[in-house]
Amino acid sequence: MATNEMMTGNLAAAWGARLAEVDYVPAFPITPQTEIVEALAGWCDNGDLAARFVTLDSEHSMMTAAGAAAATGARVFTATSSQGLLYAFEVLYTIAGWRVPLVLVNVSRALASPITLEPDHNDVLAARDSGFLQIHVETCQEVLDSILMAYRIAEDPRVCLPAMVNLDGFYLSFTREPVMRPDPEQVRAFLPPYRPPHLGLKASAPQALGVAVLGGAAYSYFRHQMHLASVNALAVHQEVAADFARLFGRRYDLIEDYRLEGAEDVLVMSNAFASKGKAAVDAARARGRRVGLLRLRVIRPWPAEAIVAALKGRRAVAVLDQNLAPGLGGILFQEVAASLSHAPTRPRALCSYIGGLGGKNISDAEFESIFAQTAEAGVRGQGIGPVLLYTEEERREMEQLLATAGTTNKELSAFSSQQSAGGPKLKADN
Amino acid sequence: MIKKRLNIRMSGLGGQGAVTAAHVMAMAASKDGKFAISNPFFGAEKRMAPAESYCRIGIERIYDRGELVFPDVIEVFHPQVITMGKSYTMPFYSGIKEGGLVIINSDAPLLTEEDIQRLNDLHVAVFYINGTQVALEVAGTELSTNMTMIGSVAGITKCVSMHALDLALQERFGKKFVASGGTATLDEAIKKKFAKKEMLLQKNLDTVKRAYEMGVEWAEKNKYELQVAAMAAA
Repeated sequence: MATNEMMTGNLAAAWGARLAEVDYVPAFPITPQTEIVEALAGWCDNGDLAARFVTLDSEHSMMTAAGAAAATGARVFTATSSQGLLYAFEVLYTIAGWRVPLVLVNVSRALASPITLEPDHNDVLAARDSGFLQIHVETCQEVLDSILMAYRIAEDPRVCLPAMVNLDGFYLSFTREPVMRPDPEQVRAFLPPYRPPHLGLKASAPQALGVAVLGGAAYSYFRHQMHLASVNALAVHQEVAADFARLFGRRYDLIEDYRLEGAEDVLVMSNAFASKGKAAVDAARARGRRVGLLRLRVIRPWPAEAIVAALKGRRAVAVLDQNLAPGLGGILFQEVAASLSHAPTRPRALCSYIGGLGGKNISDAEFESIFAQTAEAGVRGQGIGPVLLYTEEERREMEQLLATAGTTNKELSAFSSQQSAGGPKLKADN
Repeated sequence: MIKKRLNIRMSGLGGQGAVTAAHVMAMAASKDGKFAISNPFFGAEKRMAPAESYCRIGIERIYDRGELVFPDVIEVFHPQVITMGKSYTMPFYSGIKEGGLVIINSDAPLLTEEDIQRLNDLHVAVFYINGTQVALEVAGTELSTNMTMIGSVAGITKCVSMHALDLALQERFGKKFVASGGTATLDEAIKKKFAKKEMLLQKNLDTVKRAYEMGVEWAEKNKYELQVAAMAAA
């Protein structure tokens, strides 16, 4: 029987793995992910989950073990975050090339330096070219549901690639909200046990995976196969989404349309902060602004067609990136802009915003400023950005901190002028 | 004041159970049929370091998440939040809404004249409860201090019912004993384990109840009203 519970995003992730009846869980702890592997360790220990739970010495070993176990035909789950994901980086690419369909949950946490524990997406987006599929989620419910969907998509013979499900640290990982826990029998109907005919690495039948291929032609062939397989995942996702909706009543598409009907200007966001964006759209609509929100959900493969269909013909589009590529700007802005460059009726203006870095709050006033500036850019026919969302109050506090640290007045004024050069100042709300 | 949503910010120190308190409140509100969401904020996970948690309870779907900037209620779990500035926001009451409520666990007043003046200007009520003492008296351990913070805010605002709190505590700290259906020896062993758990559960519940009554009494005496509207009938 399905039950409704107040669950953290981390527990929802653990339940996703449990309901998928995974066989093997290699683990290494890192805040804010640890609760996931802790819950799984407990269930493996008391027999609630018939899986082998193994602690490894690092994320590098953990991902290697995960890939190797998946190559034997086992259903594998693991989780990490931030620095841990980076430590596993070499292996991400390697096992994606092995074409093993495991699921990795990444709990987003901003990268060092300086060190923080709160989320932004520089960690997960750094892995966007690894060959892993990427699903970015907004709610605790979507965490659980997306893990089940990710196994179906990854294990599909047309795909055979590992998948990453991304949830924001704190904003989802430690946030408790209502989650409908599906009935295990129904999950079995949706996601039958994994019995791949092509994977079966074992001691008595040795195989070589990912061997050396010099000269480039064989290499190009296999890498391009990965690309085609990833693109296949777009159609497979939609089939799986339809099945999921039929069984569980919840529908997830490649992208999410929030009040796009009749919207002149559109704000593009991803992950948990999109909830705040939706509230801001409601508030702006109530004030008479015709705005909507497009949430990017499946980021690899990149659903260019769906994005263009949602954004073409709009007056202006603003992409709010919760990441920063130094020397470039927002990562997702570039990808959205590239998709739109071939659109027949592309928006008159594209605006790029950087916000929520290191989990920084985005206030109602900042959202309102985005809507106002984007509308103006649309009228003008010229986009702006990258603009860093940073309120006057935050700037004052930062100046105080710098002064406490002994920063000179000259350096302080340089800081202020850099801030204003970064784009229009945004007022703090009160 | 009757509101569609009550935003509660709990400022405590690592180890005091502020995170658990917000989770239990949200679980209880959900059991009452309301919309609820809770989350913590902390840095280093160590004892006595600042730890904050947030609980939003309302009658409409809640899109807001993460840091709670504009709370209706602030609960201070430990005097050091105020006296040593162990708070992520300075002063600890920054962002509090007009007509809001501050609940402080302390045996003595802690606010400066300036603090009192600023809170008065915003018509914010302040309720001091010696929660640690109440926890020691009722539960025999100061570890139950967080239960007094749950009880007092529930008693004053009625944002969650005592019945729902009872259910939420059972869910959080272990359900009541159910026979295993195995051997009598096995049942006996499980019963012993559960007996201790049940006793702890009962003590925590008693602590919540005591603080709830203190909250009710204080609100009546001071004619203070801050509540969440009732859910529309389904």
